[in-house]
Amino acid sequence: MTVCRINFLKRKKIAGNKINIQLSVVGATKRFSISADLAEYAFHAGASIFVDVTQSSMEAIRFNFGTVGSPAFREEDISRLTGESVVFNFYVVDPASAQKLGVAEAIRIKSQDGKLGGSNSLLPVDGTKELSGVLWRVDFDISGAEAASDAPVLRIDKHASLNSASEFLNNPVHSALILPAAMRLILAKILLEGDDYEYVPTSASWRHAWVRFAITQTGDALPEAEQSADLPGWIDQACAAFSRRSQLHDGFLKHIEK
Amino acid sequence: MNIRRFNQKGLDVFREYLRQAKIDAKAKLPVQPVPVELLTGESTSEPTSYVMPAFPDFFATKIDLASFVDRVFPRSKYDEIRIDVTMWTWLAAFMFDRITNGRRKIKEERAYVASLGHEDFYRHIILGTYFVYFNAKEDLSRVQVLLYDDPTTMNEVMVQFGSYQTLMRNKGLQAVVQRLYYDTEKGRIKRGAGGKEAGTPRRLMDFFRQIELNYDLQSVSEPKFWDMIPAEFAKFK
Repeated sequence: MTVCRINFLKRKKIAGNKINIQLSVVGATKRFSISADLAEYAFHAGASIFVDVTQSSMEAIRFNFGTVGSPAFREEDISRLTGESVVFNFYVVDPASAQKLGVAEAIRIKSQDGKLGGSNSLLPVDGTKELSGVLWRVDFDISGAEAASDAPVLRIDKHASLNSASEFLNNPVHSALILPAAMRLILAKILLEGDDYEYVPTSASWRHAWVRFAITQTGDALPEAEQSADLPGWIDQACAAFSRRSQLHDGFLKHIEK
Repeated sequence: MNIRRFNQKGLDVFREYLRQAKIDAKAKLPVQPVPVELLTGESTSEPTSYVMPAFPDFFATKIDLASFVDRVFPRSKYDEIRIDVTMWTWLAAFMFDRITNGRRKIKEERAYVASLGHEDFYRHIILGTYFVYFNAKEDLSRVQVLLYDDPTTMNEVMVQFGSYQTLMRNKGLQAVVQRLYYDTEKGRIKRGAGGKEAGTPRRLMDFFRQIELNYDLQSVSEPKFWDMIPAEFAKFK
Protein backbone atom coordinates (compact mmCIF):
# COMPACT_ATOMS: atom_id res chain seq x y z
CA MET A 1 0.00 0.00 0.00
CA THR A 2 1.28 3.43 -0.88
CA VAL A 3 1.36 5.83 2.03
CA CYS A 4 0.73 9.43 1.08
CA ARG A 5 2.57 11.89 3.34
CA ILE A 6 1.43 15.47 3.15
CA ASN A 7 3.78 18.17 4.28
CA PHE A 8 1.27 20.98 4.88
CA LEU A 9 3.70 23.37 6.45
CA LYS A 10 6.36 22.99 3.77
CA ARG A 11 9.26 22.21 6.05
CA LYS A 12 12.33 21.43 4.01
CA LYS A 13 14.51 18.40 4.39
CA ILE A 14 18.11 19.52 4.55
CA ALA A 15 20.43 17.17 2.69
CA GLY A 16 23.05 15.44 4.79
CA ASN A 17 25.85 16.66 2.54
CA LYS A 18 24.97 20.25 3.42
CA ILE A 19 25.92 19.68 7.04
CA ASN A 20 29.45 18.98 8.12
CA ILE A 21 29.97 17.54 11.60
CA GLN A 22 33.34 16.67 13.03
CA LEU A 23 33.32 14.63 16.23
CA SER A 24 36.51 14.23 18.17
CA VAL A 25 36.68 11.66 20.94
CA VAL A 26 39.85 11.54 22.96
CA GLY A 27 39.53 9.46 26.11
CA ALA A 28 36.55 10.79 28.02
CA THR A 29 36.59 14.11 26.17
CA LYS A 30 34.08 14.44 23.40
CA ARG A 31 33.72 17.57 21.29
CA PHE A 32 32.04 18.39 18.03
CA SER A 33 32.18 21.16 15.50
CA ILE A 34 29.52 21.82 12.90
CA SER A 35 28.94 23.96 9.85
CA ALA A 36 26.15 24.05 7.29
CA ASP A 37 25.57 25.39 3.81
CA LEU A 38 21.93 26.50 3.79
CA ALA A 39 22.07 28.86 0.81
CA GLU A 40 19.89 26.81 -1.53
CA TYR A 41 16.99 26.54 0.93
CA ALA A 42 16.17 30.26 1.07
CA PHE A 43 15.31 30.30 4.79
CA HIS A 44 14.69 33.80 6.09
CA ALA A 45 17.62 35.46 7.79
CA GLY A 46 15.98 35.59 11.22
CA ALA A 47 15.32 31.84 11.41
CA SER A 48 17.05 30.18 14.36
CA ILE A 49 19.51 27.31 14.02
CA PHE A 50 19.37 24.63 16.74
CA VAL A 51 21.26 21.39 17.06
CA ASP A 52 20.11 18.73 19.51
CA VAL A 53 22.71 16.14 20.43
CA THR A 54 21.72 12.92 22.16
CA GLN A 55 23.62 9.85 23.11
CA SER A 56 21.28 8.02 25.40
CA SER A 57 17.64 8.28 26.25
CA MET A 58 18.46 10.12 29.48
CA GLU A 59 20.30 13.07 28.14
CA ALA A 60 20.10 15.51 25.26
CA ILE A 61 21.85 18.83 24.85
CA ARG A 62 20.57 21.67 22.68
CA PHE A 63 22.92 24.18 21.11
CA ASN A 64 21.83 27.48 19.60
CA PHE A 65 24.00 28.35 16.62
CA GLY A 66 22.56 31.79 15.90
CA THR A 67 20.41 32.53 12.89
CA VAL A 68 20.50 31.76 9.20
CA GLY A 69 21.52 35.35 8.52
CA SER A 70 24.14 35.36 11.24
CA PRO A 71 25.20 31.81 12.06
CA ALA A 72 27.47 31.22 15.04
CA PHE A 73 28.93 27.79 14.37
CA ARG A 74 31.64 26.79 16.83
CA GLU A 75 33.16 23.83 18.62
CA GLU A 76 31.20 22.48 21.60
CA ASP A 77 31.94 20.02 24.36
CA ILE A 78 29.55 17.07 24.73
CA SER A 79 31.67 14.96 27.09
CA ARG A 80 28.74 14.61 29.49
CA LEU A 81 26.86 12.52 26.93
CA THR A 82 27.46 8.82 27.29
CA GLY A 83 26.66 5.80 25.20
CA GLU A 84 27.72 4.18 22.01
CA SER A 85 26.47 6.47 19.29
CA VAL A 86 26.03 10.22 19.09
CA VAL A 87 22.93 11.44 17.23
CA PHE A 88 22.59 14.98 15.89
CA ASN A 89 19.31 16.66 14.93
CA PHE A 90 19.65 19.93 13.00
CA TYR A 91 16.73 22.36 12.94
CA VAL A 92 15.99 25.68 11.31
CA VAL A 93 13.08 27.20 13.27
CA ASP A 94 10.90 30.25 12.79
CA PRO A 95 11.22 32.05 16.15
CA ALA A 96 7.76 33.60 16.02
CA SER A 97 5.68 30.51 15.23
CA ALA A 98 8.10 27.78 16.44
CA GLN A 99 7.54 26.07 13.10
CA LYS A 100 10.33 23.91 11.78
CA LEU A 101 11.37 25.38 8.46
CA GLY A 102 14.12 22.89 7.78
CA VAL A 103 15.25 19.64 9.36
CA ALA A 104 18.05 17.13 9.12
CA GLU A 105 17.39 14.47 11.71
CA ALA A 106 19.13 11.41 13.08
CA ILE A 107 22.56 12.31 11.79
CA ARG A 108 24.38 9.50 13.50
CA ILE A 109 28.05 9.19 14.22
CA LYS A 110 28.96 5.81 15.54
CA SER A 111 31.32 5.37 18.44
CA GLN A 112 32.42 1.90 19.36
CA ASP A 113 35.20 0.15 21.17
CA GLY A 114 38.18 -0.53 18.97
CA LYS A 115 37.17 2.32 16.68
CA LEU A 116 36.28 5.01 19.16
CA GLY A 117 34.57 7.90 17.45
CA GLY A 118 34.15 5.95 14.21
CA SER A 119 35.54 7.36 11.03
CA ASN A 120 35.69 10.84 12.52
CA SER A 121 37.69 9.87 15.59
CA LEU A 122 41.09 11.45 15.95
CA LEU A 123 42.45 8.61 17.99
CA PRO A 124 40.87 5.20 17.60
CA VAL A 125 41.70 2.84 20.44
CA ASP A 126 42.28 -0.89 20.37
CA GLY A 127 42.45 -3.23 23.33
CA THR A 128 42.63 -6.54 21.53
CA LYS A 129 46.36 -7.08 21.09
CA GLU A 130 49.16 -8.26 23.34
CA LEU A 131 51.86 -5.61 23.53
CA SER A 132 54.71 -7.81 24.80
CA GLY A 133 55.28 -6.19 28.15
CA VAL A 134 54.25 -2.56 27.60
CA LEU A 135 50.87 -1.26 28.67
CA TRP A 136 50.27 1.00 25.71
CA ARG A 137 51.76 2.38 22.54
CA VAL A 138 50.75 4.41 19.51
CA ASP A 139 50.96 2.56 16.20
CA PHE A 140 50.64 4.19 12.81
CA ASP A 141 49.13 1.39 10.83
CA ILE A 142 45.41 1.80 10.33
CA SER A 143 43.38 3.29 7.51
CA GLY A 144 42.19 6.88 7.68
CA ALA A 145 40.64 9.65 5.64
CA GLU A 146 41.94 10.36 2.15
CA ALA A 147 43.03 6.74 1.67
CA ALA A 148 45.71 6.92 4.35
CA SER A 149 47.06 3.60 5.64
CA ASP A 150 49.32 5.08 8.33
CA ALA A 151 46.80 6.73 10.67
CA PRO A 152 47.48 6.51 14.43
CA VAL A 153 45.79 4.10 16.80
CA LEU A 154 46.24 3.94 20.56
CA ARG A 155 46.76 0.32 21.52
CA ILE A 156 46.30 -0.83 25.11
CA ASP A 157 47.59 -4.26 26.08
CA LYS A 158 44.68 -6.67 25.97
CA HIS A 159 45.46 -8.15 29.38
CA ALA A 160 45.62 -4.71 30.98
CA SER A 161 42.48 -3.43 29.26
CA LEU A 162 40.50 -6.68 29.59
CA ASN A 163 39.83 -6.27 25.86
CA SER A 164 38.12 -2.90 26.30
CA ALA A 165 40.47 -0.02 25.66
CA SER A 166 37.77 2.63 25.95
CA GLU A 167 36.77 1.28 29.37
CA PHE A 168 40.44 1.30 30.40
CA LEU A 169 40.71 4.96 29.38
CA ASN A 170 37.61 5.89 31.34
CA ASN A 171 39.79 5.51 34.42
CA PRO A 172 41.02 9.08 35.21
CA VAL A 173 44.48 7.84 36.17
CA HIS A 174 44.96 5.95 32.93
CA SER A 175 43.65 8.76 30.72
CA ALA A 176 45.73 11.43 32.49
CA LEU A 177 48.92 9.40 32.15
CA ILE A 178 48.42 8.16 28.62
CA LEU A 179 46.48 10.63 26.50
CA PRO A 180 48.72 13.74 26.67
CA ALA A 181 51.76 11.52 26.07
CA ALA A 182 50.06 9.88 23.09
CA MET A 183 49.14 13.28 21.72
CA ARG A 184 52.77 14.41 22.03
CA LEU A 185 53.98 11.32 20.13
CA ILE A 186 51.56 11.90 17.30
CA LEU A 187 52.24 15.62 16.96
CA ALA A 188 55.98 14.97 17.07
CA LYS A 189 55.65 12.44 14.27
CA ILE A 190 53.73 14.92 12.15
CA LEU A 191 55.73 18.04 12.87
CA LEU A 192 59.23 16.95 13.86
CA GLU A 193 59.91 13.80 11.86
CA GLY A 194 60.32 13.34 8.12
CA ASP A 195 59.69 15.92 5.42
CA ASP A 196 58.66 19.50 6.08
CA TYR A 197 55.00 19.58 6.99
CA GLU A 198 52.62 22.15 5.49
CA TYR A 199 49.30 22.58 7.28
CA VAL A 200 46.15 22.50 5.12
CA PRO A 201 43.24 23.69 7.30
CA THR A 202 40.51 22.26 5.07
CA SER A 203 42.02 18.80 4.65
CA ALA A 204 40.38 15.79 6.32
CA SER A 205 43.59 13.76 6.48
CA TRP A 206 44.63 12.54 9.91
CA ARG A 207 47.76 14.72 10.01
CA HIS A 208 45.87 17.94 9.35
CA ALA A 209 43.02 16.88 11.63
CA TRP A 210 45.51 16.42 14.49
CA VAL A 211 47.15 19.77 13.91
CA ARG A 212 43.71 21.40 13.69
CA PHE A 213 42.82 19.78 17.02
CA ALA A 214 46.08 21.00 18.59
CA ILE A 215 45.42 24.55 17.38
CA THR A 216 41.96 24.53 18.99
CA GLN A 217 43.53 23.36 22.25
CA THR A 218 46.30 25.90 22.52
CA GLY A 219 44.56 28.74 20.72
CA ASP A 220 47.85 29.64 19.04
CA ALA A 221 48.54 29.20 15.34
CA LEU A 222 51.10 26.65 14.19
CA PRO A 223 54.56 28.30 14.00
CA GLU A 224 55.63 29.23 10.46
CA ALA A 225 58.14 27.01 8.64
CA GLU A 226 61.01 29.40 9.35
CA GLN A 227 60.21 29.17 13.06
CA SER A 228 60.54 25.38 13.23
CA ALA A 229 62.66 25.69 16.37
CA ASP A 230 59.47 26.77 18.12
CA LEU A 231 57.65 23.57 17.24
CA PRO A 232 58.67 21.45 20.28
CA GLY A 233 57.49 24.21 22.60
CA TRP A 234 54.26 24.58 20.66
CA ILE A 235 53.61 20.83 20.97
CA ASP A 236 54.23 21.05 24.74
CA GLN A 237 51.73 23.89 25.01
CA ALA A 238 49.10 22.04 22.98
CA CYS A 239 49.43 18.88 25.08
CA ALA A 240 49.28 20.86 28.32
CA ALA A 241 46.24 22.81 27.08
CA PHE A 242 44.54 19.56 26.11
CA SER A 243 45.22 18.09 29.54
CA ARG A 244 43.82 21.20 31.24
CA ARG A 245 40.76 21.58 29.00
CA SER A 246 39.94 17.90 29.34
CA GLN A 247 40.45 18.13 33.11
CA LEU A 248 42.83 15.18 32.98
CA HIS A 249 45.17 16.66 35.58
CA ASP A 250 42.34 17.58 37.95
CA GLY A 251 40.62 14.26 37.35
CA PHE A 252 43.81 12.43 38.27
CA LEU A 253 44.21 14.38 41.50
CA LYS A 254 40.60 13.92 42.52
CA HIS A 255 40.82 10.22 41.82
CA ILE A 256 43.90 9.62 43.93
CA GLU A 257 42.46 11.71 46.75
CA LYS A 258 39.53 9.29 47.08
CA MET B 1 28.46 3.04 55.50
CA ASN B 2 29.35 3.85 51.94
CA ILE B 3 26.96 3.33 49.07
CA ARG B 4 28.16 0.46 46.93
CA ARG B 5 27.82 -0.74 43.35
CA PHE B 6 27.25 -4.32 42.30
CA ASN B 7 29.71 -6.26 40.21
CA GLN B 8 28.47 -8.82 37.69
CA LYS B 9 28.17 -11.52 40.32
CA GLY B 10 26.18 -9.18 42.55
CA LEU B 11 23.84 -8.32 39.68
CA ASP B 12 23.31 -11.97 38.87
CA VAL B 13 22.55 -12.85 42.49
CA PHE B 14 20.18 -9.89 42.87
CA ARG B 15 18.35 -10.84 39.67
CA GLU B 16 17.93 -14.37 41.01
CA TYR B 17 16.69 -12.95 44.31
CA LEU B 18 14.09 -10.86 42.43
CA ARG B 19 12.95 -13.85 40.40
CA GLN B 20 12.38 -15.88 43.56
CA ALA B 21 10.74 -12.94 45.32
CA LYS B 22 8.21 -12.62 42.50
CA ILE B 23 7.43 -16.34 42.70
CA ASP B 24 7.00 -16.19 46.47
CA ALA B 25 4.84 -13.07 46.30
CA LYS B 26 2.62 -14.64 43.66
CA ALA B 27 2.25 -17.77 45.79
CA LYS B 28 1.40 -15.56 48.79
CA LEU B 29 4.50 -16.84 50.59
CA PRO B 30 6.65 -14.51 52.69
CA VAL B 31 9.31 -12.79 50.63
CA GLN B 32 12.74 -13.08 52.22
CA PRO B 33 14.78 -9.93 52.83
CA VAL B 34 17.65 -9.12 50.48
CA PRO B 35 20.64 -11.07 51.93
CA VAL B 36 23.00 -8.83 53.88
CA GLU B 37 26.03 -10.57 52.37
CA LEU B 38 24.79 -9.65 48.89
CA LEU B 39 24.69 -5.99 49.89
CA THR B 40 27.99 -5.75 51.71
CA GLY B 41 30.14 -8.68 50.56
CA GLU B 42 33.33 -7.81 48.71
CA SER B 43 32.65 -10.59 46.22
CA THR B 44 29.41 -9.00 45.02
CA SER B 45 29.95 -5.24 45.26
CA GLU B 46 32.48 -2.48 45.75
CA PRO B 47 32.15 0.78 47.72
CA THR B 48 31.63 4.16 46.09
CA SER B 49 32.81 7.39 47.70
CA TYR B 50 29.25 8.40 48.66
CA VAL B 51 28.04 7.90 52.20
CA MET B 52 24.60 6.48 52.86
CA PRO B 53 22.84 8.60 55.49
CA ALA B 54 20.15 7.30 57.78
CA PHE B 55 16.92 7.12 55.86
CA PRO B 56 13.28 7.04 56.89
CA ASP B 57 11.32 3.82 57.23
CA PHE B 58 8.83 5.01 54.68
CA PHE B 59 8.73 7.30 51.63
CA ALA B 60 5.19 8.58 51.23
CA THR B 61 5.72 10.01 47.74
CA LYS B 62 8.19 9.87 44.88
CA ILE B 63 9.15 13.44 45.75
CA ASP B 64 10.13 12.28 49.25
CA LEU B 65 12.25 9.51 47.77
CA ALA B 66 13.88 11.77 45.16
CA SER B 67 14.62 14.56 47.63
CA PHE B 68 16.32 12.00 49.88
CA VAL B 69 18.47 10.85 46.93
CA ASP B 70 19.16 14.49 46.09
CA ARG B 71 20.64 14.96 49.56
CA VAL B 72 22.87 11.90 49.17
CA PHE B 73 24.68 12.98 46.00
CA PRO B 74 26.22 16.37 45.25
CA ARG B 75 24.32 17.96 42.37
CA SER B 76 27.62 18.66 40.64
CA LYS B 77 28.05 14.89 40.29
CA TYR B 78 24.78 14.33 38.44
CA ASP B 79 26.40 13.56 35.08
CA GLU B 80 28.62 11.00 36.75
CA ILE B 81 26.09 9.25 38.94
CA ARG B 82 23.13 9.18 36.54
CA ILE B 83 24.85 6.55 34.39
CA ASP B 84 26.18 4.42 37.25
CA VAL B 85 23.53 1.74 36.77
CA THR B 86 25.16 -0.83 39.03
CA MET B 87 25.10 1.71 41.88
CA TRP B 88 21.38 2.45 41.29
CA THR B 89 20.70 -1.29 41.28
CA TRP B 90 22.57 -1.70 44.57
CA LEU B 91 20.58 1.22 46.03
CA ALA B 92 17.33 -0.47 45.03
CA ALA B 93 18.52 -3.67 46.69
CA PHE B 94 19.60 -1.80 49.82
CA MET B 95 16.31 0.10 50.06
CA PHE B 96 14.23 -2.83 48.87
CA ASP B 97 11.86 -2.91 51.85
CA ARG B 98 11.20 0.84 51.54
CA ILE B 99 10.41 0.74 47.82
CA THR B 100 8.29 -2.42 47.89
CA ASN B 101 6.03 -1.54 50.77
CA GLY B 102 7.77 -4.02 53.05
CA ARG B 103 8.30 -6.59 50.26
CA ARG B 104 4.56 -6.72 49.66
CA LYS B 105 4.47 -4.95 46.29
CA ILE B 106 7.09 -6.39 43.99
CA LYS B 107 7.21 -5.14 40.44
CA GLU B 108 9.01 -6.12 37.26
CA GLU B 109 12.80 -6.49 37.28
CA ARG B 110 13.52 -3.13 35.62
CA ALA B 111 11.94 -1.36 38.60
CA TYR B 112 15.01 -2.44 40.61
CA VAL B 113 17.73 -3.34 38.09
CA ALA B 114 18.72 -0.07 36.45
CA SER B 115 19.40 0.34 32.76
CA LEU B 116 20.03 3.30 30.48
CA GLY B 117 17.78 1.90 27.74
CA HIS B 118 15.13 4.23 26.36
CA GLU B 119 12.22 2.13 27.56
CA ASP B 120 13.74 1.13 30.86
CA PHE B 121 15.64 3.85 32.69
CA TYR B 122 12.60 5.81 33.89
CA ARG B 123 10.95 2.59 35.12
CA HIS B 124 13.62 2.16 37.77
CA ILE B 125 11.96 3.26 40.98
CA ILE B 126 14.89 5.29 42.29
CA LEU B 127 16.75 6.38 39.14
CA GLY B 128 13.60 7.28 37.16
CA THR B 129 12.16 9.27 40.02
CA TYR B 130 15.42 11.09 40.69
CA PHE B 131 15.85 11.83 36.96
CA VAL B 132 12.52 13.68 36.81
CA TYR B 133 13.15 15.42 40.12
CA PHE B 134 16.65 16.58 39.20
CA ASN B 135 15.60 17.94 35.81
CA ALA B 136 12.70 19.90 37.31
CA LYS B 137 14.34 20.78 40.62
CA GLU B 138 14.01 24.54 40.10
CA ASP B 139 10.22 24.32 40.13
CA LEU B 140 8.90 20.98 41.33
CA SER B 141 5.31 22.22 41.24
CA ARG B 142 5.41 21.63 37.48
CA VAL B 143 6.05 17.90 37.85
CA GLN B 144 3.84 17.05 40.82
CA VAL B 145 1.67 15.03 38.46
CA LEU B 146 4.65 12.76 37.82
CA LEU B 147 5.88 12.46 41.39
CA TYR B 148 2.90 12.88 43.72
CA ASP B 149 2.21 9.21 44.37
CA ASP B 150 4.00 6.53 46.34
CA PRO B 151 7.21 5.08 44.91
CA THR B 152 5.76 1.63 44.33
CA THR B 153 3.23 2.84 41.78
CA MET B 154 3.70 4.05 38.21
CA ASN B 155 0.87 6.39 37.31
CA GLU B 156 -0.25 6.82 33.71
CA VAL B 157 1.29 10.28 33.31
CA MET B 158 4.67 8.93 34.40
CA VAL B 159 4.30 5.95 32.06
CA GLN B 160 3.59 8.23 29.11
CA PHE B 161 5.98 11.08 29.81
CA GLY B 162 8.71 9.66 32.07
CA SER B 163 11.17 9.20 29.23
CA TYR B 164 10.04 12.13 27.06
CA GLN B 165 13.10 14.32 26.70
CA THR B 166 11.13 17.27 25.34
CA LEU B 167 9.09 17.38 28.54
CA MET B 168 12.21 17.40 30.68
CA ARG B 169 13.60 20.38 28.74
CA ASN B 170 10.50 22.54 28.38
CA LYS B 171 8.95 24.12 31.46
CA GLY B 172 5.97 25.30 29.44
CA LEU B 173 5.19 21.77 28.42
CA GLN B 174 5.63 20.56 32.01
CA ALA B 175 3.16 23.19 33.14
CA VAL B 176 0.61 22.14 30.53
CA VAL B 177 0.78 18.46 31.50
CA GLN B 178 0.58 19.39 35.18
CA ARG B 179 -2.39 21.71 34.59
CA LEU B 180 -4.25 19.19 32.45
CA TYR B 181 -3.95 16.13 34.62
CA TYR B 182 -3.20 17.12 38.22
CA ASP B 183 -6.06 17.70 40.63
CA THR B 184 -4.57 20.23 43.04
CA GLU B 185 -7.46 19.92 45.51
CA LYS B 186 -7.20 16.15 45.83
CA GLY B 187 -3.42 16.07 45.39
CA ARG B 188 -3.56 13.37 42.77
CA ILE B 189 -4.05 12.66 39.08
CA LYS B 190 -7.48 13.76 37.78
CA ARG B 191 -10.23 11.19 37.57
CA GLY B 192 -10.33 9.55 34.14
CA ALA B 193 -6.76 10.48 33.23
CA GLY B 194 -5.53 6.93 33.61
CA GLY B 195 -7.32 5.45 30.60
CA LYS B 196 -6.80 5.30 26.86
CA GLU B 197 -9.75 7.39 25.76
CA ALA B 198 -9.90 10.84 24.21
CA GLY B 199 -8.10 13.48 26.22
CA THR B 200 -5.93 11.09 28.24
CA PRO B 201 -2.13 11.33 28.64
CA ARG B 202 -1.69 8.60 26.07
CA ARG B 203 -3.58 10.69 23.52
CA LEU B 204 -1.64 13.82 24.49
CA MET B 205 1.61 11.97 23.86
CA ASP B 206 0.31 10.99 20.41
CA PHE B 207 -0.60 14.63 19.78
CA PHE B 208 2.88 15.83 20.78
CA ARG B 209 4.53 13.24 18.55
CA GLN B 210 2.36 14.43 15.67
CA ILE B 211 2.93 18.15 15.99
CA GLU B 212 6.60 17.63 16.70
CA LEU B 213 6.99 16.94 12.98
CA ASN B 214 6.24 20.56 12.22
CA TYR B 215 6.88 22.43 15.44
CA ASP B 216 9.96 22.74 17.56
CA LEU B 217 8.32 22.02 20.89
CA GLN B 218 11.23 23.48 22.85
CA SER B 219 10.42 26.83 21.27
CA VAL B 220 6.70 26.71 22.12
CA SER B 221 5.55 28.71 25.16
CA GLU B 222 3.05 27.51 27.76
CA PRO B 223 0.16 29.75 26.51
CA LYS B 224 0.75 28.67 22.94
CA PHE B 225 0.75 25.00 23.97
CA TRP B 226 -2.50 25.56 25.80
CA ASP B 227 -4.08 27.06 22.70
CA MET B 228 -2.79 24.31 20.43
CA ILE B 229 -4.31 21.44 22.41
CA PRO B 230 -7.25 19.94 20.46
CA ALA B 231 -10.86 19.92 21.64
CA GLU B 232 -10.73 16.30 22.84
CA PHE B 233 -8.70 17.48 25.85
CA ALA B 234 -11.33 19.99 26.92
CA LYS B 235 -12.66 17.78 29.69
CA PHE B 236 -9.33 18.02 31.51
CA LYS B 237 -8.79 21.74 30.91
